Amino acid sequence: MKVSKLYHLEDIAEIGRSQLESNQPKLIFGLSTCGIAAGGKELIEFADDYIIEKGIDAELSSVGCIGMCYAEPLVDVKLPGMPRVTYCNVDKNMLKTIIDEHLVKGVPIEYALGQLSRELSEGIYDTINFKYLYKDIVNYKDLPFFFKQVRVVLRNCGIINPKDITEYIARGGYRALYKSLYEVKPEKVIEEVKSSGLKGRGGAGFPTGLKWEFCYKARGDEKYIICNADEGDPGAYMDRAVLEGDPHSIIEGMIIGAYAMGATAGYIYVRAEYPLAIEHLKLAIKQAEDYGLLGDRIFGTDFSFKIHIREGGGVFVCGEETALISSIEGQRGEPRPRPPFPASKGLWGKPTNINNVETWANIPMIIQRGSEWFSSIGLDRRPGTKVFSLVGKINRSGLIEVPLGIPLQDIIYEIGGGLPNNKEFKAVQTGGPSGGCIPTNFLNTPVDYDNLKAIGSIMGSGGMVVMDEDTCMVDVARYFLSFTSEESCGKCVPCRIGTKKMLKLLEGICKGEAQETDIKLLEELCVNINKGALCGLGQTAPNPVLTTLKYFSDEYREHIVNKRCSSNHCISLIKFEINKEGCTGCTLCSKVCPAEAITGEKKKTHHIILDKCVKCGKCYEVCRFNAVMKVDFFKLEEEVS
Amino acid sequence: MQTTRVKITVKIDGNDYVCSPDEKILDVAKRCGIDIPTLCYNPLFKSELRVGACRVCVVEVISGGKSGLQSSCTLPVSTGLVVSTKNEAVYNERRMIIELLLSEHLFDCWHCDISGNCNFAKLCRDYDLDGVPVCAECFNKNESCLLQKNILCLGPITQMGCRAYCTNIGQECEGCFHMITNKNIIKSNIKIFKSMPFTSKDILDAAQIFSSDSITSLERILKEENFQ
Repeated sequence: MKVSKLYHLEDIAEIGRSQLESNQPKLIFGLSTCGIAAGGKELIEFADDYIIEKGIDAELSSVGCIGMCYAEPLVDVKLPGMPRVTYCNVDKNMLKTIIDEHLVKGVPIEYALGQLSRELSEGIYDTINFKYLYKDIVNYKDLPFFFKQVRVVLRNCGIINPKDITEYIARGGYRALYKSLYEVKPEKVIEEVKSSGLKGRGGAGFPTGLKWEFCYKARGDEKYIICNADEGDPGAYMDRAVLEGDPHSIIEGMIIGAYAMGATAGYIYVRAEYPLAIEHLKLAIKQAEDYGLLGDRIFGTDFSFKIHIREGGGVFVCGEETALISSIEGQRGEPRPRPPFPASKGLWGKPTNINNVETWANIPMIIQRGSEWFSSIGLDRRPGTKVFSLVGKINRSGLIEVPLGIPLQDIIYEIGGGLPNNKEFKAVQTGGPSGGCIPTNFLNTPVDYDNLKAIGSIMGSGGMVVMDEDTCMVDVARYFLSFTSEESCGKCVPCRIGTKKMLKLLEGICKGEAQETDIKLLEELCVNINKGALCGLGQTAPNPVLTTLKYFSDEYREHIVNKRCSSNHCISLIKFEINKEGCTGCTLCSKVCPAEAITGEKKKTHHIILDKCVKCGKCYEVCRFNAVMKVDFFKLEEEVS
Repeated sequence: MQTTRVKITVKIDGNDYVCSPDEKILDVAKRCGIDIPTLCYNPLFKSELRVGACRVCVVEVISGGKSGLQSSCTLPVSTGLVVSTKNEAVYNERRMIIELLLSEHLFDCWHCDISGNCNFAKLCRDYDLDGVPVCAECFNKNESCLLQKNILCLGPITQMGCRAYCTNIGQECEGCFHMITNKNIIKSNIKIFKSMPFTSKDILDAAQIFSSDSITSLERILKEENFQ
């Protein structure tokens, strides 16, 4: 069926609604990559067998990631007329009880995490609103994890089945496309995006509307638009969640963008390491084409637009727009100097617009609800929201979407639930290898592009790594530099050799072999690489070093002068010792030691032979009496001498 | 046809230059005699094929474009563009790039084919970098190298910069431009003397022009390398 009128869309929406609100009891599994990794696939297979065996009348369905990665695998029970109830950390025994008690008898179990009685973000869509609720089960919105979130980009993630276009349409999808094709002129679409204040969510934060205008005004017989889904930052998976959980929102955004800029073809450059995302995207494109929402004569108008998928070559630098264009063209993924900017000379020399996954997913909502609504979401007149993947030393790690302007501490302590084991907060790293480390005294900073830039970090694509007191900041800088120096494409000198030299200096500091002049050298390198590198990768590579040098200079000095690592992390600067009073002689440590470096008889104090010890830390982990200690390597030597 | 006749004025180092719209800043500079160093630039390539990879030709855009350092070989001219080719930021950037390249470079210039005509060595001289031996400026190589004729020439351990006047006319290098300060380079370059009939005393006698610090460190290195 080809859709050309609004009521066609309503007919499809009706099918979707009947699936979302089916008359059958339903078991819903979170089956995005995180859910599968936690064992969701085995659970759904088990549930399938179990239901057939017991002859239970129920549907099995899968959704994308709802964001609670700390609680995976998630299983939801949906009874007709009642809200979804989520169970977390489910194993097979629990699943049996859930099916027997809740799905069959209708009695929810007390350890349920919450019920989805209303929309996670009210006022965005109002399709979920239940009259009858379960007693004694928390509403989703009242969970601390969701309380401060505003979900615009993730509006459908974890709610709809990403493999079914009807469910997306049932939740208001493709209305924005209809509206822009039939009611708004291209210039007006660009005007709307411009006045919404949306900034590029890929990290640099260039105003999207302005970018669109450049491309719209550029002269060319053909124009292209590209969705940058080559997400490579360590600890970041926002784009993957949207691609897997709600691919149609990106496709709809791209079609609107193509209509506004007059593009004829679009490319989604997606990491080859995201097979599930590619599968869902391909399916989504096919379904949209079948309904006439994509391809030739969209919605029965004269506008035609096609989307192709390009699988990435696994290079981090291909996230940079010019390198991405080269990669799509079939050349090596290397950046080239700008100007000329892609807006005037991009893919195959034609005007091209590149936006990030999250930016595209924002577009339908801006068109549907208007720019004023969008710019009112954030706190203190900051437009829109930002998706972060909250990872590291945090209790509730997961995918969150917060309004811009929310203080960092609200994210870490309220949404994330603080740090595990009562450890003290040390720093939060935003923006991946291009970002910086933010220390405690900036925790009340409202999150937005300018504020984070002012304190030396960047917003980035949205990775947020929390670090506790046990983290060595020099080692963090070294880790990120080792990442960028490995991922440097090698085209320009500052990035190719400069990052290598910086890494060497940092490795020297971590080993306690550095001199005090090295810090000055490091600073000089940082400044010049930042100024002179060809692309964003090189220009921002020194950021982790610069911020740690600025906020944790004591730690650098301690490594260099005292040759000691106060967080006991740098292996070269510590050694392991057994405390005579604590050791009970249980022999556990000598059993796990791979180097046979621990000697001692049963029930007698053990001893570590320093020459044999490889400092793997196994004995430290297994000791039940905390008798194995990490001590400074160099300090003791001085005392002896 | 109208567009080709349009001329654009750009400001380089405070002076106005008139240029055609398809030119890059480097083209204008070369035409007007402004010195911008290059390494990966090849005049035979079309301007679309320039890659801007070595970054040695960076200039600073003051206004009229994306401000900051940009490679001049790929920077198109535009109306109102103001660039500076000689300031501290540009100098520091170029110097760091050359230094980085030098750090990955071998220093055995005495048997390099382009010694005497080495552009890179010239850049090292212009940007005052330590470590390149006099041999980089010397035309005599292989059989004509003084060391091959068993004449004790201090070229391999002496800092270049003198344009190798002595060695080019057949006289040995006496080390006027002080010893290379980087000990690792001295250590690797001094090995060339090993295959020749020079004792450590010969070398130290010849090196009397060096500063006393240099002589003591040379003495130590000779001992470490087991010279007779």
